[in-house]
Amino acid sequence: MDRIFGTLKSPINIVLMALAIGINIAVGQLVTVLKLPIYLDSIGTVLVGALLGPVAGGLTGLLANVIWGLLGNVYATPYAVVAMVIGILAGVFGRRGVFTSSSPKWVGAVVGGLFFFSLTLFVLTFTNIDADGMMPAMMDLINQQLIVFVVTTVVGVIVGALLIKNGGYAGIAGVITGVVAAIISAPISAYLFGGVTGSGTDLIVAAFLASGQNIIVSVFAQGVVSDPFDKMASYMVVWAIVSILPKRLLERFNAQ
Amino acid sequence: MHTGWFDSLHPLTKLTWAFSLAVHIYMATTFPASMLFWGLAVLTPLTAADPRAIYRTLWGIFIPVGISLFLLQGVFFPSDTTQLWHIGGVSISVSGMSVAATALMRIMTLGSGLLGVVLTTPPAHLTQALAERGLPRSIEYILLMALQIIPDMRLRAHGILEAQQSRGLVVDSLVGRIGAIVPLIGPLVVGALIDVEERAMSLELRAFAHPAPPTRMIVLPDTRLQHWGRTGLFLSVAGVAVMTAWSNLA
Repeated sequence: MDRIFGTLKSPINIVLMALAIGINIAVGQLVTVLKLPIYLDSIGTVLVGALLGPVAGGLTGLLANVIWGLLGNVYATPYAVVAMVIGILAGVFGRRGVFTSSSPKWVGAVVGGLFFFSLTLFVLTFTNIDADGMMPAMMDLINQQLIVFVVTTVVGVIVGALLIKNGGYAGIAGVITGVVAAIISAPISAYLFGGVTGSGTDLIVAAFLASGQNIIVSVFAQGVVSDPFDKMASYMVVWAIVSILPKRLLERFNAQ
Repeated sequence: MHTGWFDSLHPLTKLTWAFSLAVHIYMATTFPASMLFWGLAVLTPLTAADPRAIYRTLWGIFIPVGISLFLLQGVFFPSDTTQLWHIGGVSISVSGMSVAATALMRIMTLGSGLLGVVLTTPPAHLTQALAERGLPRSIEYILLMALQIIPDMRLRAHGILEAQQSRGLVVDSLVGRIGAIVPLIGPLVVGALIDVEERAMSLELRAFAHPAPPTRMIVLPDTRLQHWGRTGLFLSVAGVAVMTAWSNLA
C-alpha cells in the first residue's frame, strides 16, 4: 500500500498518468483513422509502466478503462483488470531495462520467426481437433502441413527483421504480455459478453467455434491470435519513443 | 432545464442501482428472472430527462452486438441437435438462440445501467461522490484531468496527422500505414511528456499536496431514503451472491 500511495504523492506521476490515459484514447483514434488491424490503445499504459514502474503502470491501465467507461464504452470497464495487468507487466519489463536496451538485429528476426511459427501451430492445432476432442500430435501436424509452417516462419523472420529491428527484447516482452492478456480476458469475454464485442475479432471467434470448440476456448484462441500482435506493436512503439527521448527528459521520470 | 427523476438521484444511488441490476442478471438462473432484471434496466432511462438520447446510444451499441451474438451462438453453438432453421448449409440451433438471447439481455442490462449513469451524471459529480466516500484525492485528480485532457489530445492527434501528411507522409497502402505509426504517435507522446512538468507545477500551485480536505463548489444532494435504498441494494447483492455460492457448493 505504501508503494501505491508513494506513487500517487508525486504531481509529476499524477500528470503523466492522466496524460497517458489521453494518449491511449488519442492513439486509439489515430489507429482507427489509419484503418490498422490492431488497437494500440494501451500505448500510454505501457509508457507509464516503462517510465514509472509497475504500480503506476497498473493504476494507469485500471483508470484508463474506467475513463473509457465514463465516456460511454460499455465494454471497457469489465476489462479494467486486464489493462491493469498490462500496465504491471510493462512496469516489470521496464524495470528490467527492456525499453532502454537495444537487441542485436538477428534477435528481431528470431522473435518474428518463432512467433509466426507458434501462431501457426496454435491455430492449426485448434482447427484440427478431432470429434472426440483429441488434439493432433505436434510432429504429425508439422509433417502434414510442412509447407504452411515453412512459409509462415520465413514470413515471420522477414517481418521480424524489417519491423522489430533492434527492439527484439521489447518484442518478446510484448508477446508475453499479449498472451497473458488473452488468458485473463477470455473468461471476461465469454461470461460477461457471450464471446462477442461487436468488433472484427468476432469473426475469429466464429472461426474457432465452427471448428467445434466451446465459447471460452474460442475466445481464448482469438485472444492468443490477435493480442500478442497488438501488445508487441505497442511495446515496440514505446521502445522506439523511449530510445529517442532526450536523456534529461528520461531522468526526470526515473528520479521519481 | 428540465431534470428527470433519475438524473436528480445521487450519483452513488444510480451507480448502486446499475451495479445491483448487473449482478442480479448475471446470477439469475431462470429466463423469467433474467427478463425481469433486463426489463428494469431497459425501462430505467424512461425516468431520465432525455430518454431518447440514452436509447439512441443504447441501440447504436446493442443492435450490431445482438446481430453478432445471434449469428455466432445460433450458427456455431456446439453439440446441439435441435435445429430451428436449416438454410443451405447453415443451421440455426434452438439452444444457441437461447444462449444468445440470455447473453444479449445480460449485456444490455450491464450496458444500460452504465450508460444510464454516465449519460445523466457529469463525471465531476461522479468522482466527487466517490471522493466523498473515500476515493483518494490523487485518483480523483487523475480521472478529472484525463477527462479534461482527452478532447485536447484528440485535436492534437488530428493536427499531427494533417501536419505529417502535408510534409509528404503517405498512408494509402498497409505498409505505408504501418510505417506511419511512429511518425504520428511519436510527436503526440513526446509532446505530452514535455507538458508533464508544466502541468505538474500548476497542480502544485493549486495546493495539491496540502493535507487539508478540499472545499467543494457543488453540494451533491443526498437523502435518507436514497441512503437506505443503497443499503438495501447492497444487501440484495450480498444475499444473491451468498445464495449462488451456496447452491454451487450444494
